[in-house]
Amino acid sequence: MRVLIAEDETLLREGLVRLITDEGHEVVATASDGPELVRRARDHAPDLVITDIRMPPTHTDEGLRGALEIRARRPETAIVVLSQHVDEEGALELLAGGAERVGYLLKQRVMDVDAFMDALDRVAAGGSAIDPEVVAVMVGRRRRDDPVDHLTPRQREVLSLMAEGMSNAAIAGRLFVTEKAVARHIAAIFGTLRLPPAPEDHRRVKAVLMYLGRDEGAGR
Amino acid sequence: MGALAGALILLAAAVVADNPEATPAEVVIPPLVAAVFTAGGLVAAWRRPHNRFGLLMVATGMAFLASGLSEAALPGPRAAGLVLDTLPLAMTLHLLMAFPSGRVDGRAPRAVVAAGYTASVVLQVPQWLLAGDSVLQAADAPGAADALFAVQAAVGLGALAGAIVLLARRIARAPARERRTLRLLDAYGLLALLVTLAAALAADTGLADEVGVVQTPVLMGLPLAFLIALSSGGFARAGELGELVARIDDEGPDALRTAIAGALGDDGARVLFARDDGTALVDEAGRPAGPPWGEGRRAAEVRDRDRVVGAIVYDAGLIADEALVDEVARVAGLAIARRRLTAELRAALAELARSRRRIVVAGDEERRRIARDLHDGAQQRIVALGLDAQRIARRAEDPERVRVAAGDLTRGLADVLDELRALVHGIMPAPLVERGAEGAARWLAGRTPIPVAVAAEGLGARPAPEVEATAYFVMAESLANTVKYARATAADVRLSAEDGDLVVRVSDDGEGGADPAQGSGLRGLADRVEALGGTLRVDSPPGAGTTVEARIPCAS
Repeated sequence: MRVLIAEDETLLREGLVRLITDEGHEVVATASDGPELVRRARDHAPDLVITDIRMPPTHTDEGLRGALEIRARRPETAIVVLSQHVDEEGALELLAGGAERVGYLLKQRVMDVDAFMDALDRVAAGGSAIDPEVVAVMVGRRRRDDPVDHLTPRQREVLSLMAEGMSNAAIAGRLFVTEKAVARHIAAIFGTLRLPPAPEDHRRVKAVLMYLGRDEGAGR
Repeated sequence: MGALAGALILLAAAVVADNPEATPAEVVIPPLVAAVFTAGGLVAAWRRPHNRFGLLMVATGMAFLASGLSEAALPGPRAAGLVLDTLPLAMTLHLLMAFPSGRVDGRAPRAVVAAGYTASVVLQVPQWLLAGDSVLQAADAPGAADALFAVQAAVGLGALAGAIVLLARRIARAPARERRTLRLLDAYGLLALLVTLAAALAADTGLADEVGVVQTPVLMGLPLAFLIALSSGGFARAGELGELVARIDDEGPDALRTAIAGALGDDGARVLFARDDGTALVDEAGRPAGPPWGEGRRAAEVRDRDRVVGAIVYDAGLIADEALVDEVARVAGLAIARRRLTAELRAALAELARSRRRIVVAGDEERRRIARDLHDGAQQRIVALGLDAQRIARRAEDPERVRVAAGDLTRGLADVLDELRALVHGIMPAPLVERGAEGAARWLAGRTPIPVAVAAEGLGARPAPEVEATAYFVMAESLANTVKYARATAADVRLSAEDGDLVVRVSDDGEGGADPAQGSGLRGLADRVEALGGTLRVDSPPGAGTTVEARIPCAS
C-alpha cells in the first residue's frame, strides 16, 4: 500500500517511515506541515495518509484540516490522524463525513506495532479505527436521562469495542463469546439507544459515535 | 462677659476684705480661684463657640466667688455665701464629668453630677435653716440638723467616690495618643478629688488642717489644669470655617485632612472617600477603611449635592456639637468629592499592584509545581526505563526474553507519555490550543462527572490566545468548584460574543452560597480576567445555584 506520512517532528517522522517500510508498505512521500500535506496528497494520490493533528504553521489542528480537505477531494483515500491527546470533538469532526476509511488514534499507539498496523490495515480496507481512550471518554460522558445509563456492563463493553471500529468477529474474540452472542448484544444496544440498525461496521461506528457525541440539549 | 466677671470678682474681694475677722487667705483665695476659672472659661468659649464648657467654667468660678462670701461681715452676702458654700464642689464634679465636650454623657456620670448637686444644693437647705449657728435659723433643732448633715455627707461622699471611680476608669480606657492631654487632665482631676475626699474624711480628725493645706493649692490648680488641657492637644481652636474655606484647596498629601482637623479642633480627625460604586470607604492612600472607628469616634457622612462622597471620622467625646461637624462636612463636600477621584485612582492602583503580585506569585507557584512534577515523575521514570534498555542489551542472545522486556519497556514509555500529557494539559490544554474556547468547553463537559450542556452563540474568529485561555480557566475552575462543592446535578456552559467581549457563563443547579472571598481559586480567576480588562461576577445565593460570569474584552 502507498502511504503518505505527515509529521513535523523529524525523529518521529523517520521512525514512522521505517516502521511502515519494515512492514512491507511503500512510503511515497512525507510532509512536515499542513499545506505540504495537502500538496503531497494531491501529487501522489496515496492509498493511506497518516498525519499528526498539530503541525506548523499555526500548531493547532492543520493535520485535521488537511485530512478533511484530502477526503473531500479524494474520498477513496484512507486517513489516520494521530492526536497528542484525547480529543473526541476532533474525532467527531473527522467522522462527520462518514467513518469509512477513517482512523483517529493517540500518537503513542505507534509504540504497540501490532495493534497499530492492525488499525492501519482495517482503515485501508474500508473500516474505522477509533482510539479506545476516545471511545471511553465518550461512553463515560454524563448526560441527563441518558439511555446509555440503562445498558448492562457487558453491553457497554460491546458498545465500546463496536465504536472503536471492531467487527463482530473481533469483538467475539476479545470478549471470549460467540459471534451470535455479540450480534444479540448489539441488537439490544441499538434497541435501548433507539438507533436504526446499521449492518456495515463503519456505518454503525458513525451512528454510535455520533450518538455518544451528540450535544447535551440546552438545559433549564 | 469677662469685664462683668472681673467686676464681680473685685466686688466680692472687697466685700470679704471688709470683714476684719477674715484671714488674708480667706480674702484672696476665692477671688483668685474664681479669676482663674473665669479666665479659663473665657478662653474655652473663644476657642469653641459651640461648646458650653467655657460657660460652665465661668459659672464654676462664680460659684467659688459666691462661696467665699461666707466669710463676709455683711449679713446679706454672708447668707448667700453660706447657702452656696458647697456648690463649687458640685460644679467641679460637673466640670470633670463634662470635660471636654461640655456634655455629661452616660448614666453613671449623670448620676454622679446629680448626686453632687443634690448634696450641695438640696441637702444644704437644712444646714442654713436648722443649724444652731445659722444666720437664717428657722428652728433650733440640732438633732434633726445633725441627722440631715449625715445624709448630706453620705450623698456628697458617694458622689465624690463615684466621680473618682469614673475618672480612674476614663484614664485606664483613654485610647488614642491625641487624647494624652485629656488623660493628664483626668489624672489631675482625680488627684483633686482624692484630696477633697481625704479632706472630708479628715474633717473630724486632728489632721484636718494638714489636709487643708494641700487641698487649697490643688483646687486652685484645677482651673489651671483645665486651661492647659484646653489650650493644647486636641482641643485646638474650632469654628474657623472661614479659614477652612481658605485652606480647603491647599495641595499636599495631608492638606485637606489637616484643614478639616483644624476646623474641628480634633487633631485625630480622618477624612475618608467613598469608592465609585458606593460600596466602601478608602483613605487618602486608597486603603480600605471602615468601622469600627475607635473608641468614642463617629463618622459623619459627607455629601456633594445628593451624592455621598466620603466621611469625616471625628472624636465625639471631643466635639459636642454635631452641627459643627455637619457644617465642616458641608464646606468640605466639594473638595472631598474632587479628592475622591484621586483616592479612587489610588485605590484602583493599589488593587492593581496587589493583583499583579498575586499573578506573579501564582505563576511562580505553577512553575514550581511543574518542575516538581517533572523531576519526581517523568525524569525518574526515564532513568528507570534507560536501565531497562541496558538490561535488554545484556540479554541480546535470548530473543524471547528480549521480546518480553521490550514490551515492558514500551509500556513504561507509554506511562511516561500519559504522565507528560497530563502535565502538559495542566499547563496549556491541547483541546484549547487546537479547537478554541468552544471545543475546549465541550472537551471539559465530556470529562465532568455531571451532565454539562454547552451552548455557544455568535462566536466568530478565534480571539487572542490569552482571551481563550482565560475563558478556559474560568470554565475549568467553575466546573471543578461545581463538582467539588455545589452538590449540583447538572451545569450549563454558555459562550457568547457581546459588544466585543467574550462572555463565559457557567451556572449550576447546586446549593449556592459560594463566597468569592474564600479560597484562592476564584480570586485567581478574577485576577486573570481583570488583567485583561474584563470583569468576573459570582452570583451564588444560598440554595439557588451558582453562576460565574466573565466578560473578557477581545480587542487588544
